[in-house]
Amino acid sequence: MGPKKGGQAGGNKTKVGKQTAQQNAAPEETDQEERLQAIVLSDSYQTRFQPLTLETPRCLLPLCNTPLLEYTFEFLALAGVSEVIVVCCAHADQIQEYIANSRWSNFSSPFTIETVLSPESVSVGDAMRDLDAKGLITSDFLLVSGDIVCNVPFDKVLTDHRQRRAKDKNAIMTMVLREASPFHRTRARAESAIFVLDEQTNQCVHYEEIKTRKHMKQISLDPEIFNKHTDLAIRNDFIDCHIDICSPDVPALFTENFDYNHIRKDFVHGILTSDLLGKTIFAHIVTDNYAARVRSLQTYDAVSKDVISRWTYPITPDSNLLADQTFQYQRGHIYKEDGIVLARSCRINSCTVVGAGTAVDDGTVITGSVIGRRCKIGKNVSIRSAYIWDDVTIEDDAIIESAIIANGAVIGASSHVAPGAIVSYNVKIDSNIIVDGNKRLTKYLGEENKNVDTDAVGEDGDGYVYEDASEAEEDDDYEEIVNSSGLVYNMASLNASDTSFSTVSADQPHRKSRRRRISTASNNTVASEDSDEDSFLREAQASVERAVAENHDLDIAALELSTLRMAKNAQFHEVRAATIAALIGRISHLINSNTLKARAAVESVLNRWGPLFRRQVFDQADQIDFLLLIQRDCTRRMQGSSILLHAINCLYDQDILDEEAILKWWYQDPQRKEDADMVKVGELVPRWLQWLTTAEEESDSE
Amino acid sequence: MLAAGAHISKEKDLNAHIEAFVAQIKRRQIQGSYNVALATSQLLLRVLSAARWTHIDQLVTQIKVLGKRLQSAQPRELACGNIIRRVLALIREESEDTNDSESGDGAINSPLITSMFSLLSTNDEYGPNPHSQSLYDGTGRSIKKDLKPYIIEGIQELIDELRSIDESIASMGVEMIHENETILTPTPNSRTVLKFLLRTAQKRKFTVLVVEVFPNDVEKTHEFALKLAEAGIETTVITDAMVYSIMGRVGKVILGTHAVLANGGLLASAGAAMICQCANVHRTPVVVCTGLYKLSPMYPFDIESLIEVGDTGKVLEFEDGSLVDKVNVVNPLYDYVPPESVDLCITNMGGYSPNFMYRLVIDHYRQEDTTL
Repeated sequence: MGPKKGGQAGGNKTKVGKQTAQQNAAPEETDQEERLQAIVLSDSYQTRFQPLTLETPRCLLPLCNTPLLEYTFEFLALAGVSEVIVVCCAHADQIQEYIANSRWSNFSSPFTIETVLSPESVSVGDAMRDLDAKGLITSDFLLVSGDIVCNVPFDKVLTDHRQRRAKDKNAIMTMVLREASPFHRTRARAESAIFVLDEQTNQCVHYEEIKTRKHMKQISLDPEIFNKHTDLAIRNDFIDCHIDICSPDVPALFTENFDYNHIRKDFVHGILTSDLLGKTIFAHIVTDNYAARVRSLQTYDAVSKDVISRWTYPITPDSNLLADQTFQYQRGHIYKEDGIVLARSCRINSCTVVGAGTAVDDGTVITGSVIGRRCKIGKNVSIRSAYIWDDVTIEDDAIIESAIIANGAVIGASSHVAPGAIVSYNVKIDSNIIVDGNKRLTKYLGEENKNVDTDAVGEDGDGYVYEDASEAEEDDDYEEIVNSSGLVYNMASLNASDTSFSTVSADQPHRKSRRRRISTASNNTVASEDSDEDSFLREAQASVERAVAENHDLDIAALELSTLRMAKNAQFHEVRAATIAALIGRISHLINSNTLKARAAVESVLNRWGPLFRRQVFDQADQIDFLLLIQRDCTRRMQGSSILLHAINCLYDQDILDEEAILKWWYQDPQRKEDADMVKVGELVPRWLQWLTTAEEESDSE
Repeated sequence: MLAAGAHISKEKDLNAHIEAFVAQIKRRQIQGSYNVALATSQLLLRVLSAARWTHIDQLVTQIKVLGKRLQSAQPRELACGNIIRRVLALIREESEDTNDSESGDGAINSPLITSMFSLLSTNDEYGPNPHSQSLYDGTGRSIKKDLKPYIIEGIQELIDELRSIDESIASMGVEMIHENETILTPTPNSRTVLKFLLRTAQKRKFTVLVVEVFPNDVEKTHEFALKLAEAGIETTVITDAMVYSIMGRVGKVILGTHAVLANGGLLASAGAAMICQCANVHRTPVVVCTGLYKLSPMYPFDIESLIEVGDTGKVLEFEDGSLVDKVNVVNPLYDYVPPESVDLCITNMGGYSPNFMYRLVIDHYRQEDTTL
């Protein structure tokens, strides 16, 4: 907690300084022209790197023994950026601490650096809205994520953008795209898109996400496009690593449109299909240099290989980005640091990086891999295309293929880690264990209490199999669904055979692209005398009730709620309270009017509207709060106890509530039995809990 | 108090300069021997004007530590280390000179090996200075004030030398190139060669064949050829593969180089070694134009550690996904050209045989500074 607080205070201080600077700079247009701001989104708002990202933010994961964020900063330094704002969300304290201790916050740093906390944002859109609210952006800025590797010289891109801006104020954005064949290893399989560009000006006139799962056979273009542009190129050969130059209009547009979350899917698509705004977006196509983004395990693998084989020159391991690194290059793309102990009979083959303090024993063969610092590698070990981070111990005769082994892990003698597996921090794997390719092992417990999974890690091992909880927990369904299981990574490592291609993109359910809607009119009904919170509760409840009564689309209801939330600056707690009040009110109405029995009433309402909670309930604390709210609400209703029982059952079936949260709520939360009403309304729950535990035991014994 | 604060801020400022230099050289924002040499000497000038020392050894250690740091930022830019060694030699020389003039036994302390250059030059320039304190004066305290301006002046001279180096080499062109001779050059990124040819073209009429050294310097080749053509020189750009067939008609091969090693070997653009071999077969003279700042006291014991490996994307198009995944591409930027392949090195101090380079090394650097 300590560093976090300190960071916040520091952030505030610099902000004050900046505001005055802003005032000073305002009259001088020329001064602004030269300064370039960069916004680094340190969070990816995705879960593809879990369980690794449970403990470390993605931008601090090591790529070739250097944290990803270093590559981003190096690129920004090359691009001549003078001011960097890092937006932190998950693991903000770690990121702040890292930046504070790095050379970038040093006085010799080429740019000033500032971290901004945006803990509540769950998408790029939220972060942009937050930035807009904070008013940090003064001029055209560079928007990147904290996980890019790029060596594109930026002055040309920038001058082009500025010329366009000078001519036409509506050219709000320039996307930097790197040409690459459709099945290039460095392209993220899951995320590809079709860009329709004007051949002469490189104006992007249409953007369409490719929905691989649906075997998209057609895209529809507005015929007007053909009237306006004579030469159009429809292209699918870009690596889009989300390096954008944006005008200050961009965050403002995000604020105007609450439903924009994704910068490409929602924003670019939305802007281009909107007739009202008249804004234009351009592409800058790069053919010479390198640009890529580590956005999935598959691209982690590919970008690592690219860095090792010097496509990213001069950003290579031997340029020793961190001050304490001592990498030296050897023939065949082998990079070794000082102080490595190599046994006489071990073999280090091409495309390998070995960090300082690592010891490799006799007969071991390492090919195309990255080995971190202070690793101990035993005799006759075989390591191929694997990523082994710091302080890992690998005992004799182990085999590791195309896997990620995180800091402090131990792989027992004669164990076999199959391609695609992930062994997270400090997991210990016993001898003679086979770790399957789709397994992700972790020791991170979070709030849960899992037992050591002896099947997976052996008798003496430590750790358990990580289940991808993203479907259940993740609010941002459309962003998240891209399957983050080991599959993608697996395919990448098998990618040598092109035939495996068609299966790569499987498992990628996409949400229907949402049409953009201008914020609803509900703002007008604000009764200004009320305190914001009350008015929010009332309005939100009314909004949900209206949606239920008029049977609106779920998306519309959710959108309306989030609009309200933004307008009133409400917490999720209040959103939940309002939604619950409306829905349970509806259920109670159905029961009281004798239309349906309790169970049927609950099911009919919650099956239809339950998914609303997906965007309101995120982690376990939220779930418990949510349960308490339901309980509290039920005390006011007739047949409250049976509504509560059926509601819990129904929400559990929908995976909005998980059993740990329910159990915790029931057994540990003091608020649950605050007063007699609360106790009374919960009288039916124990039976259900009993069913739940027995059901689990049964499934366990299977 | 105020003075101390000023000193700290000055030191901080200096440190920032050093950090920035290290970062820039790592990012290749400073690239090429000349730029690196110039930037290094300017940095050293700054460091020395801020430096404080009580004994000359302290200063030497300071500079050595700094030198090690700069050198390890990009060990393959040898010019950086060369300039540091030059400055170290300068400091040592100044201190010894002062020492000699006081103690009067300069003959014993002076280097045992006196090359023919020192025969011609006089040491009077910084000779006896009646006001200077001796290295060890009565109180045992050593000098500091008197040396500093001399050292700074020495570095200034070094910078001036760097700036005028191309001129002095170019002035020798007339003696090298005959009327109507055909010249082949495989190093179009060399400023020295460009100036050499342009200057000579004012007096002589000759033809230049520019080899398009794929993949790293193709664009530069075309610029280079254009500049020559604009100056009225008959210029042809040829591909690398044509070198052997055309060598029979070439009068001289003129090379620029990235570095000259102590044995007279060169680190020149990739492809140069092959062209020099080819010239040797045809008994065509190979002439190297180089400033002395490129002369390194290193011997090529481990050639690989001296050769920089560049951007793979220049060799193979990154777009081509299927190839990128399957092949391993290496793009070395330099070639090692053995001294046997070179006939003459033209430096700003005149033309020498590569076999003689070790003497120049002894004249310009101190043995004790070879390893920083």
